[in-house]
Amino acid sequence: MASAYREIRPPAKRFERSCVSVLLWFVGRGFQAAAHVDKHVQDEVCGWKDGTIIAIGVAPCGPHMSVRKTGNRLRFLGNVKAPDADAVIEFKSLDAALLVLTGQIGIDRAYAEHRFSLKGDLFSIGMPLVRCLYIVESYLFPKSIAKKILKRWPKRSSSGFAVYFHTIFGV
Amino acid sequence: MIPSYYEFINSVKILSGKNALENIPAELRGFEARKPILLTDKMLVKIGLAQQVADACGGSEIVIGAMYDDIPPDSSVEVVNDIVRVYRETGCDSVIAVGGGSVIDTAKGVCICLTEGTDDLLDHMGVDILKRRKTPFVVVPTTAGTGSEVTGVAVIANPAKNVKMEFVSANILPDVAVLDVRMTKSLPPRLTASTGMDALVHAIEAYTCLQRNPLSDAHAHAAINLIRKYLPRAVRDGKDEEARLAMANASLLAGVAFSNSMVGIVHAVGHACGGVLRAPHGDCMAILLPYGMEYNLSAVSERYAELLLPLAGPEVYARTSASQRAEKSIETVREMSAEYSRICGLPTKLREVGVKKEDFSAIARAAVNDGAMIVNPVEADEDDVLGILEKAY
Repeated sequence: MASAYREIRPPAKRFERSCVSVLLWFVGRGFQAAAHVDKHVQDEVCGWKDGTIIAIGVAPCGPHMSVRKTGNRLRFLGNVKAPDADAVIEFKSLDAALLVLTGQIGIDRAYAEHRFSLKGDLFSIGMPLVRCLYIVESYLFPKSIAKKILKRWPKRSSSGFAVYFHTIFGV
Repeated sequence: MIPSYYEFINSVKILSGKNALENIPAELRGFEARKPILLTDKMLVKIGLAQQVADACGGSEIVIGAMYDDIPPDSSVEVVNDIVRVYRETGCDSVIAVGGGSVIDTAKGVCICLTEGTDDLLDHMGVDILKRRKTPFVVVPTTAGTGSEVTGVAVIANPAKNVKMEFVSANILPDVAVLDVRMTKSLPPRLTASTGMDALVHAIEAYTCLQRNPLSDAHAHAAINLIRKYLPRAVRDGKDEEARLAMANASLLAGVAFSNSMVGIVHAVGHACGGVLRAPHGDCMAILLPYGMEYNLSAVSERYAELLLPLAGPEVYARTSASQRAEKSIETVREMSAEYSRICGLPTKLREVGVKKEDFSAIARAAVNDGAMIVNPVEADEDDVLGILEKAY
């Protein structure tokens, strides 16, 4: 006899998934650009071993992006989750990722709210990465949004125009 | 103000009070465990506390599979791996940790290895990535300060790779915490004051960090109340069982609070002092607390004002005008430190615990990379930490 119950498949959230994918591309390219033009991002990154890979995405198989450290620069590896990443930040849902990537909450608030997991060394990679994200957020978001989500305006050594230019056209 | 979103967990069963130790076998029975490994350190073996826990399991089916006491003051990955080897060799099926923060963190590391089936903890460090623990895990704290018996945090050193591995996950919370005054009665006054102030810092920072929530607030508030009333009694008379039990509970309450709300700049700088110079953690906490509070005052003055009630009591709170309560809270904390300094020699300046000015830059660098900085209500860079160190020196 057929069961009176049927499976309910929650929506695939394709629109949110696409948005997160595009926003992660911007973050990855923004990271690469900021590390190219901003001394403070370079200072944070220089403590990482050459070849260090950082991946940011949505668990377990949502969109991701990865960057690799080369010299004191970062290279965007594309919208992929590098399998050999040294540190992986994974948002627990697409919605959590959207909260952060659209500037509704800052990275510190997201951490406080357990919106993401972090795999890797919190001391030598995680904290410098958080400070880099503060700087990247200050470049990529409009000032009114960035000021709302940052505890303090970070020290920067370049202009928003330069970071946007290199984000869109590459370094 | 209620947070727009928060998470809270404390799944630890708490046994507190008379003959609490004797209920450990019943708890293990609930997990179908009968052969625990007992983890402790040499000092606790020497003063008989470890044996007291083993004896409390007498008259039951429990057999202590092995007593491992070679745990140093700083947990390390070699020790964790060695314990895992002993655990497997002796066919143990559960873990009892008897000790302070180092023993408990080591035990958490052992449980991670056993659950993840690994001997390389490096692959599992991070935040919220661990699987649910499988090994039954009982903790008997022997100090009243760390709160480790109810926290989802462990820090374990990896000297070979020069990495301080941090594990943050609700999945490493123990199953049972046993608070029995027999375990803390022998703590000398100086250590009682130092660990008690550590618990106070846990509660105050938990009440003011970004991750705070109504449930962590309630635990922090209750902890501070108990510390105000009972820490002076426990320091003056170690045999005062009511004060000892109250302090064990205060430490646990503060532990629940900070495990859910996290700690901030006082811990970040204190961890760095400990990491760079091996300065005693509780002493650093007591010294740095007023300076950390001053640093955060602009962002959380309302919260500090609220804390005056548990910190100083209702009379002081009522006769202090609302606009002065936050500063009065900081003054009260200073007075507490000064009082314990007078009674038992608790240090009030960093130079008294071996910190030297030439170490400041290394401490500042380590402090800004401490995870506690993320949730501190005010952002801090190396210059800000140097400012705090100068004042506290």
